[in-house]
Amino acid sequence: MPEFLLVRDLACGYTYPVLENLNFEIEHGSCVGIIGPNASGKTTLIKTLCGLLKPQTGQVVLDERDVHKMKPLARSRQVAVVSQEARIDFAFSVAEVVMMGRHPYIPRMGSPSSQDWEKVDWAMEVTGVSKLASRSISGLSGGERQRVLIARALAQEPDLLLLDEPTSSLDINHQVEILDLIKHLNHRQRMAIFMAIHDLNLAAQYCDRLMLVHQNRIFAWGNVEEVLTPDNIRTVYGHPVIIERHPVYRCPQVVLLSRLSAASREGLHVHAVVGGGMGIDILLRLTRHGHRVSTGVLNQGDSDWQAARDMELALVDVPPFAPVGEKSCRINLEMMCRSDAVILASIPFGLANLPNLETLLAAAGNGIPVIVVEQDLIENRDFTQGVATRLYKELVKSSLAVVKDSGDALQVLDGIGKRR
Amino acid sequence: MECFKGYAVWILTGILLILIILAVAIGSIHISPLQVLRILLHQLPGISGHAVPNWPESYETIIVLIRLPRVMLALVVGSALALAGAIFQGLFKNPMADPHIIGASSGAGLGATLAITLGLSLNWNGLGAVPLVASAGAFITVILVYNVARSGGTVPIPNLLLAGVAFTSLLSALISLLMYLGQDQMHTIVFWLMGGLSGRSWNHVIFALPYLLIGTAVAVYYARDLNLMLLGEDSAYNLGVEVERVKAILLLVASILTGVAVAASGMIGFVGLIVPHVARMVVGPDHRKLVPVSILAGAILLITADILARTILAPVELPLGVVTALFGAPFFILLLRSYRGPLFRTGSD
Repeated sequence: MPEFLLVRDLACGYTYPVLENLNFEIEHGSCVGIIGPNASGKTTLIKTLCGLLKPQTGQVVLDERDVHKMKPLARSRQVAVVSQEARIDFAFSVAEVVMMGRHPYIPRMGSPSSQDWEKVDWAMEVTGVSKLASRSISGLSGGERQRVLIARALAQEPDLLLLDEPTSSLDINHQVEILDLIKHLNHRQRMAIFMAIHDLNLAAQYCDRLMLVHQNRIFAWGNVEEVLTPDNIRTVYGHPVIIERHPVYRCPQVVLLSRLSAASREGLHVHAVVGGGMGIDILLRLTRHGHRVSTGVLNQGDSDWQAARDMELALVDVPPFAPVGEKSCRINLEMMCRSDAVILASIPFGLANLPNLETLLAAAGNGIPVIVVEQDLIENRDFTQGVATRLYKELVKSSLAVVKDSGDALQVLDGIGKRR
Repeated sequence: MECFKGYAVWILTGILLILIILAVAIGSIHISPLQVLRILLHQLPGISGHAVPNWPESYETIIVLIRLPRVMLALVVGSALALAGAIFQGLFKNPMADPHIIGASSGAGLGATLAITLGLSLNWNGLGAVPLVASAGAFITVILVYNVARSGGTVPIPNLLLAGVAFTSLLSALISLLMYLGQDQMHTIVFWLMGGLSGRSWNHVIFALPYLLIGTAVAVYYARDLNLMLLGEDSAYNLGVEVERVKAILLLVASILTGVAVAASGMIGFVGLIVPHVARMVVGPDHRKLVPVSILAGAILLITADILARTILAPVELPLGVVTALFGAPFFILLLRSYRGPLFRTGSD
């Protein structure tokens, strides 16, 4: 696809540059989200892209023309903006406001043509505000007004639609409505979308590409998966998160971790044997309950490993797909023995992680309370032709408790805590 | 209200024409409105031949040379103030904006005070020193305020308001100082500042009318831009409006209109504040309707006020500015009380 918005060496801001050295390109029909903390320059960038703010250096080229040198009317036929200042204090009707979007097409002393009315009707139709056409804009709800302003932008028939936090003040149902509408326009009209959006999960769900701005520059720019990484988010927002998949759309979703529980040091020291994504829930709940959690042995790159790292847990790991070696087993056993309890998640066993089971037996032998979470029969998750099942059954015998889920495991831990 | 909306311009034009004739008829020598109409029609080329004059010649002199110029000046000044008010309220998106807000009137006031205290004698197209120096004062003040408010390439509205307030206080202080120093002319100055139309001639009308015509044309030309700017300057920019240019032109036009109105008739308050408000209640915020309706309503209001000024305590004539404020303020207060809903939504919902 041909790129049609080119940004070259752009520095933008008011007196001091807010963003510098911006170089990027946007293709026809793409949907780009710009994310970043408050005051990171999202609005400034949007104001510069639409021509409102003169760049300090560099240029913004739209369809081979410099946006800042275009004639105002020509520019407003190509670029439309839905900005944050959504207050309208005057009793214009909705249809009048949408017709304002036709300003660049109506001759100065002329009146709207039938084509202008068609475009206005169409824009109100698409955005679902036709029924409000004769209502006064000042009496509308936030969601309705936002749709009207999008309708006005559509009436401009732009190739590029810039939106500044289109959902910031709306309830969740309206947020989704507005973003669905934007996505629909993006698909149907092949209209390029560039929107500032502070909700990372909605950004991931609705945008093709994300631009993360931080410390006066583009911190990360690319596909949603490349940009929304725990490291990026922690660096930029200074907060630990883990990234999960959206259960339906499979796009990355940011899960916030509470700093409060991470800081609390009153709980037990619990070692968890997890893996294959079965442990995220346990790790989260343990930390949230204020327990100090360690985990291992995990393969690097495993989703539980990722989560443990994001939560900054003490952990023992081995390279991807490598079997758990003797040295890591020894470290793991030391960790278990220093713990108040060990939890085994309902994980599948293969030859690679079989040594973890042996380590657990050794820990149980040393008198460490072991809690076994059994959500599924061991036979169904034994990929070692029965070896794991044998060791597991032995472990169950010497364990403190076998529980159904992580909630029950927490209760057992509470019991241990009280006795201590 | 709704059915009135579409015909507002025609209804107001009708009222205005009738009012002009009434205003000319009223006076120390009573001339019937019908007679007035005949005399006026007689002045028009083409019609004059058809009617045989059956009135004393003095009537013609009274009407054409004394009463009509006064009524026409009321029309021009009322229209100019209302138009300036509509433009300022639109540009400033502020209900308190009136023609005097950015200092044009104080500039004119200082100019007039200077001309009076220094006893300047000038003559230009039959106009004396007072209106000439007053309009120069208005013009200089507006240029100063505009440049003080300018920041980078733009003129932010809050800067403009503050600069206007600052200059207004400075100029008022200077006016007071001049009055204090030149106590002999104090009465003349006070009388002039209170505003009035007595002793004005066709020269004043001819002086002020071109500004009103040009101002009207400019306001109509930019009416749609002004509408877009009501929804925010940034949003107007994104719709292709050359915001700073339109703002500069309209500010200049509104200020000159104010300066000229003050130069011709002194300080007349309330017309520029109240008329655009009432017009907005009737025809809504669209300047394509608001501008013509404000102009007509401003003319009607000021002609009516002048009739009252001439008749209430006749033969004593009240200062026009006192009358507009005496009647305008209570009317405005009543309106505020009875009008449900925000006049001009500001603040929070």
